[in-house]
Amino acid sequence: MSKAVLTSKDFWSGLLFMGMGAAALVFGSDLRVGTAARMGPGFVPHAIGWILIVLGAAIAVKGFARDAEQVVRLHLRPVSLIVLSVVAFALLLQPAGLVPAMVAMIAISAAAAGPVRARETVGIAVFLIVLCVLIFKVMLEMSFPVIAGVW
Amino acid sequence: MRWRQADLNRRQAIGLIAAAAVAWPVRAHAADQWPARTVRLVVPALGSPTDVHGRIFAEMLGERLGQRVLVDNKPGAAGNLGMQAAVVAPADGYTFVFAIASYITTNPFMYKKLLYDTERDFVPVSLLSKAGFTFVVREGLGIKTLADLTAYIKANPTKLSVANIQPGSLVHLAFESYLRTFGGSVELIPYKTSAQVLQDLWGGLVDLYPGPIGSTRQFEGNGKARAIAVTTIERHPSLPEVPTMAEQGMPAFDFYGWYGIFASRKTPPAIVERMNQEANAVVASKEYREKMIGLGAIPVEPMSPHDFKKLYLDEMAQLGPLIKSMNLVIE
Amino acid sequence: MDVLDGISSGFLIALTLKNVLYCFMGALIGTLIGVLPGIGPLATIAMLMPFTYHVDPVSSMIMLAGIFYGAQYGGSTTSILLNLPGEASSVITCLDGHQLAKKGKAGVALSIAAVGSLVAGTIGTLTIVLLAPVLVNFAEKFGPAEYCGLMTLGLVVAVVLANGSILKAIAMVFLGVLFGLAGTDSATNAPRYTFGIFEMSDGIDFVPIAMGLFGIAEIISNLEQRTHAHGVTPISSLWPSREEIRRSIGPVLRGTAIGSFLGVLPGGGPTLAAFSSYAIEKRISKWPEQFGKGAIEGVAGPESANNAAAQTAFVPMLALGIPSNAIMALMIGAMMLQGIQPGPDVMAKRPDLFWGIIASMWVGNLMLVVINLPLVGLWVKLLSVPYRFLFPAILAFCCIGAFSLQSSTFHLLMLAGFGFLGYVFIKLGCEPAPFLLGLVLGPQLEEYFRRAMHISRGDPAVFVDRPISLALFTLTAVLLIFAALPSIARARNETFQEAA
Repeated sequence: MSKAVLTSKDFWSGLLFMGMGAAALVFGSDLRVGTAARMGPGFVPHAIGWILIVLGAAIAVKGFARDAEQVVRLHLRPVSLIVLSVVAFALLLQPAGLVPAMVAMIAISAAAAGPVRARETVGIAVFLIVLCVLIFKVMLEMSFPVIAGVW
Repeated sequence: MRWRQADLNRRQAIGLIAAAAVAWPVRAHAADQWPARTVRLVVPALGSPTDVHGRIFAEMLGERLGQRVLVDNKPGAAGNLGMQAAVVAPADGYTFVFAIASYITTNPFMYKKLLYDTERDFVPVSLLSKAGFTFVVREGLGIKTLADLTAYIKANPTKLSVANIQPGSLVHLAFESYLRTFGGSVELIPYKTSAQVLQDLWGGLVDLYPGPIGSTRQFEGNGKARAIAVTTIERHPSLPEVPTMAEQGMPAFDFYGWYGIFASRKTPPAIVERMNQEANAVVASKEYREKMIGLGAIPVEPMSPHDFKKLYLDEMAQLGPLIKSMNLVIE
Repeated sequence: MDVLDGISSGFLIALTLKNVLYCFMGALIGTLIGVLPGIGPLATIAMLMPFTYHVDPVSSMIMLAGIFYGAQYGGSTTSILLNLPGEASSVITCLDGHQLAKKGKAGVALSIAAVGSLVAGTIGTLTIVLLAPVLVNFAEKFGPAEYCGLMTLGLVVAVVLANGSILKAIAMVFLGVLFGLAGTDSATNAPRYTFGIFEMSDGIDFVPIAMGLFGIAEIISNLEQRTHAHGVTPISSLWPSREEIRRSIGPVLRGTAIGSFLGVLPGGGPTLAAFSSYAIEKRISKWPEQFGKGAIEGVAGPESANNAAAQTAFVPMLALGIPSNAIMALMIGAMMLQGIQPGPDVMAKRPDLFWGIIASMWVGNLMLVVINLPLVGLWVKLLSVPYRFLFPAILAFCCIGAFSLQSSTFHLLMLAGFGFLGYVFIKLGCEPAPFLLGLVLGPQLEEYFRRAMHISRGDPAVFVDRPISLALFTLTAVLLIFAALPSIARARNETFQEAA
């Protein structure tokens, strides 16, 4: 078995589908299945679970082919930092306010884009924060604090 | 130096009176000043009739108060998310929640876990309106009155296809109540939206739709379906020719939903009182009453918070056992 | 009232200065709402409801309607420029529209989308005027069995429109269905895959999923490639060439036809229309391999389809009082507040309302082109901003947009999660479009299937007894065979070649 299997797209997609199918079965185990004519809440989830496992296996097997497409260019930095920036925004918005949330988000995501240019980042942050406050808070009156406790 | 006991008490008494004298105007001042800024009305719905009702009320209340009443939509989880948002908000009298009956009277029996407890977390403020239901039957079955319906169900057990949108909803309970008076059985077909029911009613696929008056008036004068009864004790002004259940042999049959305002339990009572007065003024206004009828709801007489509470506690006493006996409890 | 009389009086009403102004306001607000990711027409119309009491019913309905289809136009803009679908029906536009933008042809995509939508709107209005009774009849014949057929067809379409591996596309459709099942089962109130979290009890909202899988994942992927970190996309052409216009004519007409019919079905609508149009264009194109890489047909067809569907979606509401979607339901509420009971007699009792709204839809479409075409230059300029300035803005708007739906931190976390998942999909060559279609159609298919079986008391013959249902399932089978044929033929050829 060539090492290329472990980096083929099909192999990992197949595993992903199988995993999801298994999760569907496990987390849906307490749902009543019923019959095809009188489906219970669990009928379709179980069916999909099994279908995904079978399809996933078939796809994973294709990953063993000699000319299977390889996963390309997996960089950890952009994905982890961007996801982290959204999470930071999520966790800061209601407790701390829009300003801290956006500062955190812009700072973290700036790091995802390569070497950070501090002045540029600050400029972007100021511009975007003012723009968003104007559009979303002043014009559309959304219910989040701009800075918790102040506005 | 030893203070004599009497002097001490007198000093305490004077101190208390002095403090009260200072604080009392401040407290009353707070209630007088209310509202000094935008009031937030949490509406646990978005885009649904509940949202529409909430916005109408917010608009009219805002005109009375001279302050913006901002609707904050927080839909989801059968009202849980909205009610919870009202609980965690600061209880300074600037957050109220627009509730429908089911959040208060049926949710506690339907769900084992809720994000709020009405008794513990809320005080009632005002009842705003009621919303009754009708039974709409499609043509072609020869059913024109409630008696016809009862006869049909008795003669054809489980044959009638009855649309039901929300298991455990008040209209479901109303229909079930009706069935139990003669032990009838029907086939309850689940639906997600009233639009789907209407489409199938037109298409002759479903036979009966117990639904809110506002969603079922499309059939008037059209020959495809007819409303044979309303579930409230009085006829609805917009459906004058549809008799009530009571008129057709079921006296005291009175099922309806309602819309009301609640506030966090820790809200200063003076503000709750003010809000009740203002809300009741809206409820009594001609404009609001006309709008309610237009939407298929029923205008009510203004009530004190105390009477409002009695209303829903009585309802819970009646509905709780009914729900339990229907085996509807979900997680 | 004679149809010609009706529509001419409708135009007289729609073209009064007051109504033109309301139409313009609605179209403008709708466009802006559509451009802002996350905030949708539903919330906007809900917010504006109180405003409409003080205005007469015809004008207020004209404005609300303008917001609705204006949002479609605005949604196309963000789909093409930023790969951010605002609604399910804009997802398809992202596929080729954004690819065109990446090639510097954003202007081409935007203008074809706008003009195609105008043509669709014009023909759609005509269709409504001339064929309203036929359309209504068509809608009435659709019961759960027919919807099942339609949804099944739609799911097969989802597989056909995939640009990569068929097997993976099928798996993605099923995965999408699985995610769509999360929430409370409407028939039994049983919670499915909610993990005890209250915010999950109504299912995962479409917007965070779409924004995450498309928008956020796209940002991550772009940053990874580093070319966009410094470079600027050169604009190759602002307006479509003669060739591109010629290639778009067929798709626009076909898309309009599909959209006009599918839009009438409550619950069917623009999404299915857009996806079907894409699949059809891909099937009949002489250059199918261009799809997914910037084929103009892949924008012209779906955009026309979803706009035509947006027009005919008004038919059930105006003719029967049955809302096709939540937005129509709100408009019915607005009408009721004005003392108008929607239903089959609206056409007879309030012809001014009926025909006025229909006429104003055409006026609104025209206005939208007038608003949007000049903006094309502006939007394209926006794209030429260096990416390192652009992507934080996109992130910010996505985040606030996702939050704004229900003021929910949970939605933001969903956005992050689906952003990650979307990146994984890109890396593994799994296409998100079939996933999204499965997400939207799968649960509906389950719902209609159960209902059809329940109504027929467990008799599966209902699917073949009813003619439309039978036709749809047959069509599905035919489509499946046609889709499978090339692969079967290829496999046969390969075996023959190896044997030789």
